Amino acid sequence: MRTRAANRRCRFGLCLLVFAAFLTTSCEESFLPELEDFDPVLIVDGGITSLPGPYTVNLTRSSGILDSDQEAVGEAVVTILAESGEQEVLTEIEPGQYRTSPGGIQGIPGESYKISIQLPNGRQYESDYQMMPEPVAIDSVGADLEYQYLSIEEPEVPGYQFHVTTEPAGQSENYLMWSLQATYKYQADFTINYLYAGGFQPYPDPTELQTCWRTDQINEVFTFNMAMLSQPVVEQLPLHFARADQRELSIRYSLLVRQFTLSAEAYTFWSNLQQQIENQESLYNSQPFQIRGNVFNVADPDETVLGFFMVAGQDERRVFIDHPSELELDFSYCSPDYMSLGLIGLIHPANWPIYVYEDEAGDRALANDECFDCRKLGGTTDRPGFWQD
Amino acid sequence: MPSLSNSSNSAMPSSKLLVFLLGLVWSSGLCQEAKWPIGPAYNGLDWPAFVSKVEKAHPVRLFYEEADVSDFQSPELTGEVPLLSFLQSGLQQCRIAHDGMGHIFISRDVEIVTELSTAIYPKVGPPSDPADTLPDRSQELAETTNQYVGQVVEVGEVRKGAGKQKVTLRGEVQSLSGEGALPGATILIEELGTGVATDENGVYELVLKKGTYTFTVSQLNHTEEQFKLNLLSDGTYNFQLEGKTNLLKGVTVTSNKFDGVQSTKMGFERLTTKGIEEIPLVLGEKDILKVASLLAGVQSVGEGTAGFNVRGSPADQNLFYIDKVPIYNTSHLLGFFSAFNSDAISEFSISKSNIPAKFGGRLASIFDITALEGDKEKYKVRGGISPITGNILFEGPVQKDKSSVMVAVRSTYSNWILKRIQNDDFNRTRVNFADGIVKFSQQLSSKSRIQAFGYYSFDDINFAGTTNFDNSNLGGSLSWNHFFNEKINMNLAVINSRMQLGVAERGIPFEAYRQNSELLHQEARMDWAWRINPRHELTFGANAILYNNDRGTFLPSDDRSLIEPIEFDVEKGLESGIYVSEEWQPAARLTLTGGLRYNQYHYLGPQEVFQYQEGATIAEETVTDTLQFQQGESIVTHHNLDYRVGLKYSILPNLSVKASYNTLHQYLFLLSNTIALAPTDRWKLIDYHTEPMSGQQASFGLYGSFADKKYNWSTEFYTKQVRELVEYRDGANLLVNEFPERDILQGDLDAWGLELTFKKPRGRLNGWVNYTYSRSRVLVRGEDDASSINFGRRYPSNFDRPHVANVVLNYKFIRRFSLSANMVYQSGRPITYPTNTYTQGGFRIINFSERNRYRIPDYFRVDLSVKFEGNLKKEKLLHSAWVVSVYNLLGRDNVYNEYFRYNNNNLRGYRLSIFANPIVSISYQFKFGNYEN
Repeated sequence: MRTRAANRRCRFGLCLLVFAAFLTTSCEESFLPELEDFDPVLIVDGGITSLPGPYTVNLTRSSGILDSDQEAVGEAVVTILAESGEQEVLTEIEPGQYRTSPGGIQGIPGESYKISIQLPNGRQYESDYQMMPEPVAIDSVGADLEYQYLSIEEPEVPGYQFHVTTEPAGQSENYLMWSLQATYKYQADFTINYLYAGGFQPYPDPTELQTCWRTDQINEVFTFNMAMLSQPVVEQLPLHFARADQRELSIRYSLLVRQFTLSAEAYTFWSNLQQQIENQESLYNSQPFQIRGNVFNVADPDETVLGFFMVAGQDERRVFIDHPSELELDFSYCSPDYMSLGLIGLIHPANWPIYVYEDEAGDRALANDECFDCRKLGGTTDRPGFWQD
Repeated sequence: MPSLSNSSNSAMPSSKLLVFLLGLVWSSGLCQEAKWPIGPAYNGLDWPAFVSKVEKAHPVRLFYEEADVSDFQSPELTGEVPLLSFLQSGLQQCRIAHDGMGHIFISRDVEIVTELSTAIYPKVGPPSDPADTLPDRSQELAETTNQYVGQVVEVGEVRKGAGKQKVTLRGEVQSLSGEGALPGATILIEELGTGVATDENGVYELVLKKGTYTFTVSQLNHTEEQFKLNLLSDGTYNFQLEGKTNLLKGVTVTSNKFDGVQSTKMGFERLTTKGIEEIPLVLGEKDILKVASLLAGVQSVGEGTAGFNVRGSPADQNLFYIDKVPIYNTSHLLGFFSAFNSDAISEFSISKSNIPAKFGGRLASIFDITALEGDKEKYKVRGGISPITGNILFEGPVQKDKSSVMVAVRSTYSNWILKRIQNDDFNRTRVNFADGIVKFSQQLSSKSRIQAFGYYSFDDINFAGTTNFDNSNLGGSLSWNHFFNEKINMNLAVINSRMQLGVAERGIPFEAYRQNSELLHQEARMDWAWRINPRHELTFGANAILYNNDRGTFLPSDDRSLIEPIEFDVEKGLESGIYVSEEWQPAARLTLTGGLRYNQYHYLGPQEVFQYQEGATIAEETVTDTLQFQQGESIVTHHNLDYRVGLKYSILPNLSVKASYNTLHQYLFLLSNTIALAPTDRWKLIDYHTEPMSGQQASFGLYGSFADKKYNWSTEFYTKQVRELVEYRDGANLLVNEFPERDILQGDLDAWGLELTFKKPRGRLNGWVNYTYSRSRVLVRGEDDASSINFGRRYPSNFDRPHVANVVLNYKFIRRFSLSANMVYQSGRPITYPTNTYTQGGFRIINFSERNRYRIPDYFRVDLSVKFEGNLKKEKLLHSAWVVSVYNLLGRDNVYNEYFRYNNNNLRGYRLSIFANPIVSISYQFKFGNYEN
């Protein structure tokens, strides 16, 4: 499954691809590129917004495309400075993760902020002062059930198309960016009726590991420039499309929409990222390029530093949707393995305890762990505080 | 079967022989004395030479079997005797029959009867046109004439030539199949190894020492023939060639049938529609322009994309002319097909090296397309149906022998298919495209001719009811060609071409928009050719183009849309040029060409122009002033003088060396930062802020042929530089862009390459093989990284494919069944890969660095097509042929593009293949009546 969804407006690129695929015989296959080594570069990830802190700044070094190529940069002195003179040195709470204190610096629209970073090796980095725009407020976030193409490899699929409507923006606020976080409730397919550890023991709470919540950052960037509009307001701008036939929307789904009001410079950064992601898969793609942020080495401005110290107005809204009852789910369920139960004695004790399912007829069966333990599918059994059923 | 013997009777089945004999009259001994005298000039000739000579000298054709004439004795004549008497006495074992129409049958074993049983063969009169029923003579002639040159014709008079060393021979190369004088025919003097080509009017002129020469004359659609002339004084001689007269055109790949060894042209290719009929193409659509990409030095970015990259240049450096009308959008259906109906095209040529001085305005190549001229004698209708389109063509006389018209229309019927697909989005998808060509020509007098040409094409594509894309081209030309005398010829033309483009997006109501734009090209030109003497040919002329580039509007397309309307500038530009070009042959083996073209370009008002802070990056923040220009006021002016220099030296009759150098300027470009041309790309004139692109190219090559020109080869090396190449800042949005200058960066392009071509232009097996090694690199270095591309370092261009090899083969099994195959190999195009990833605000971000550092996998494709023709009976009302073609026979997943995205928190690369399986298509072609194509 792909993460990038086509919006309701059939995007020119994807539509074209789907059409070309119909005309011809297009196909898509995945591969692992062989890449040359890349000299590690400093990555700055953080910012200050109009919502109350604390604010976090992460410093890493990245030398490749794998997770193992990312390395935390600790023991740096990270300072957020306001042009008015207020400043705060952030505390390193984890390697490479720096945070303001709960009662510390607060973002105020109209004020200008910058970051300053002193690495243990003595290198000094900073950004220029940027003014925090007045946040544009969210009016509503809605969702419509519809069918969409997600890739040329699959027919249309059902799902919820989320969209956002804003309050009218002020005169100088033109640039918006959205960051989305999805949380969904789901269940493992089976209850744990027995544990096997040499013998069958009834499990005290068969549904204990059945219900989970999983939270994911949606890796789609959405930006909008209101300068092209006659009125500075966004109406039902399509955001994420959540498939309604998969486990993620099998019960209930929540989307947290964070809306950032940006400076022109920050907008350029984020819209370039959005374009780069969307544009890649079009028939008419342009060249990808290195998107530089706003942090630079004070002594050597040519040094590559990636990431943007974002100074933004922020508003957010959470919405919930349920699985549409009329829609069938379409993902692979676990099937109970009755046959293997007879061989349970052959399983090496190192794998004990083994979860055992008992169906309504009283027949017992084995299955993979993720069929019993929802945590194996990436979630947690702790119900999030914001969750409403 | 009798063995092949005379050039005329090969493969003639005996039953047919009997049919031919129907109505024959025994002729031996009849009073034929006066007919067809032969004299001492025939003395000593062996049988083949004798036959050849007789057939050249008299309107007769001899039919015989080799064995029957084995006892032929060379004539030893002292005076003239009639041919038939001579044959009767010379071949005493044989019966000699003559049908009264010049057909002489010689037979020993076959009894020649005068009457056939009427029970089997209905009694009919003699065939009205014997040439029709005879086997195709012309085809065999091509293979045999090299050996047997007919009689020597004397040109001029001894008396007039007395005291002269050198004489001038002039005349036309004429078609015996009703096409009149033939332009572009080549005349090679075998003894000297040099030659000339006829001009636009089929006229040639030569200066030679007095004496006897063998002239080999050839032209694209005619069979090559040899003539022996004895030049006594200045004189005129018209060479006559027979047309190729297959019923439905056979397999003849006639690219480069122009004589590459003798011509002074370099980097020049010519293709005829007839020649490409069997080349397999995707979706069964015959597409002469796509065949261009099988030629050396011509590539495209990917399958199904519009535009060609000629010798490492971007696609907007090519100029497409069809009958003098420039076409600014050359494709249908987003690039899958070209916008030219191949049936209505007679030929096209590409100049990719030494572009003639009469052309200017583009740096890489000129695609000069000639539409079919209507038949001046007969009405003809033909057409075809492919899986995507249907087309029909009509041609015929308006005033017999004086004027003709040709009308061709092509349209898709894919909407019909789309409506039948059980899918909402496709049901709401509409694809419509069509094109039409009209050509009218009128002979005003023997010296004067006018021609009117019109072209229209459009595309209207709607995806799922939300995205709409439409474009159209409308163009016309009116030209007048006049001969003032034998030496001076002038062509006047007025030309108009308009391209419209519209994009609409309705998916999101509050930002629903429609964008329109229109480019208008109005041109007048005058071209003169002055053949001062055979060693000097001067061409000169002038043209002026007025561009009216309405960059259009960006408007809300819906009541609910909040889009702020934008009206873009209307750009005006005037590009004019005068040129003079001379071809000079200082020595028999050496030809020099030189040309000058002076270009002037004015960017005209009315317009409001921003001025930016000097030395600073062009951006909104650096605007210092606004200049107002009035209607017609020149905003900027550029003057440039361009050179064309070339030389050809014939080392041997079949080996020549050539070199050329030229400079060019270009004053408009395509606003496009996508790797493949996008259908939304619009043209932009060079303005106040941009510099004209300039190019120079030097080429050097060797050209040769062997085995009587059955095979020819060439090798050409070129190097070219483009200055002020237009590139764009990273992340530029060109779709809605009021101030493109803020996103334009100008840089340099360097390209070089070596092209090797081997061709077999004729025969049952014909085709070509070529290999190109070439590189193309770009450098854009500004004051800072934002004004540079790739950090100011040189990078391979998007179409830098070092190794390219093409094989095109046609094989004709029998006349009704032929097969052709293509093989294409190309290095993968360059691509930019990720270098590393990082996290930003929770997003996983992919970082890219060095542009075009990597390559997608190599490309390899094999296509195959077979053509079956219906039976070739003469009197059928409808002749038809089926073409079955398979594109990508091996089903190779050729990669079009590679991209990267996160899948479950892992970065994955993905490869997209557009044509990943073999695509089989069947198309049907038909024509009414009996005539050659």
